[in-house]
Amino acid sequence: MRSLAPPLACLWALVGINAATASEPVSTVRIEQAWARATPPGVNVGAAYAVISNRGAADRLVAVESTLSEQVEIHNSSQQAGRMQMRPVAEADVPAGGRVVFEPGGSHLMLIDLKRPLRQGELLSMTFVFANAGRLTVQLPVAPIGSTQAPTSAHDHHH
Amino acid sequence: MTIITERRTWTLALVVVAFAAGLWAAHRWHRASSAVAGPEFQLASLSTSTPAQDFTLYDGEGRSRSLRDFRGRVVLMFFGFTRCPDVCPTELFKLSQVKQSLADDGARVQVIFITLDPERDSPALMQTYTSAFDPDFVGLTGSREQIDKVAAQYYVAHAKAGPPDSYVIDHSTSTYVIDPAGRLRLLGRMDTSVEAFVHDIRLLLRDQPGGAG
Repeated sequence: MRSLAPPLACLWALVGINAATASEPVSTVRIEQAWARATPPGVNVGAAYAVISNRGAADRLVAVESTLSEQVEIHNSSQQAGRMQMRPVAEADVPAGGRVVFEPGGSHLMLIDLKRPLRQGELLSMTFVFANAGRLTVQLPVAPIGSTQAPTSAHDHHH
Repeated sequence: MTIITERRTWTLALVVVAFAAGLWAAHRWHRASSAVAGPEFQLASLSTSTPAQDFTLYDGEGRSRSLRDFRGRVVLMFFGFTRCPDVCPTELFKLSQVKQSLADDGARVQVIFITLDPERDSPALMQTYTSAFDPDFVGLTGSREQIDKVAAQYYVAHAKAGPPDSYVIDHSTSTYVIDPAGRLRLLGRMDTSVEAFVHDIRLLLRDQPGGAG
């Protein structure tokens, strides 16, 4: 009997580890440094930025929604033949252990048909929809028009 | 055996000395040639002495404005459109910071934003848009023909893309820097810093002290 104790302990440990892994939330996707930019009056489009980090298996950002705009498009920007070109893409891959960066002058989230201009200092609610991680709702602080970085008071707003 | 080794060592030494001499000469030549290059601009410098191509478009109040109206000031000119969510606000905000950083000299700088989307960008909308960045910015629009002509004068590549009701415009993102004498002197880029613009504008203003303003 005594000789069986060590292997049994090992087995228990293994089961325990497995159980712990299984009970962890599936989502390992986090949204960090999310912010939006104030928009001038009369213009019904805007831009939002964020860093999506993924500590787990590969996932996909399949949609983004906002309470203040009819639509949110995921845009890739690139220089083509001397022109800055931005194109909507249906979804963005969030690689395992990797990051997706939306930033000024690069890929960004375009808010289309804003119901009203975005005002500096307010919070904009946006929902990021992932194929595996599901829906993550984030409050984005609104930075001044044209600002190239998140408002200084911005912390990581995430759920 | 020892003779061969000795010879090799001498050859190697000779090669090393020749190489070092070459490097020194190249360095001297480079220093001499850059010393005569005049002011050290940080932006891409165009050695032009002819005036920038003139044009006439309409400002936010519908008044006609020509480039030559801004002689005496450094003109920073950027092409874009108001429904541009990312690039245009980024660049215009940067230019507003450039103007602020120049303090009193900022009054001798004129930012001009020219739309590539005259169908959607009315004079009133251009006015509202540019005022959001700086009340002194001038937004210019015109007919499609006038806009295309100005874009061609400045080699601005632009093309509509996407569905007709919600198209975007791919466009080149250079900022044109015109000196107080009306000459096109420098080209700024999206990644040109505020500090580099300020540095170069000060050089251009120094050449023309106390211009109109």
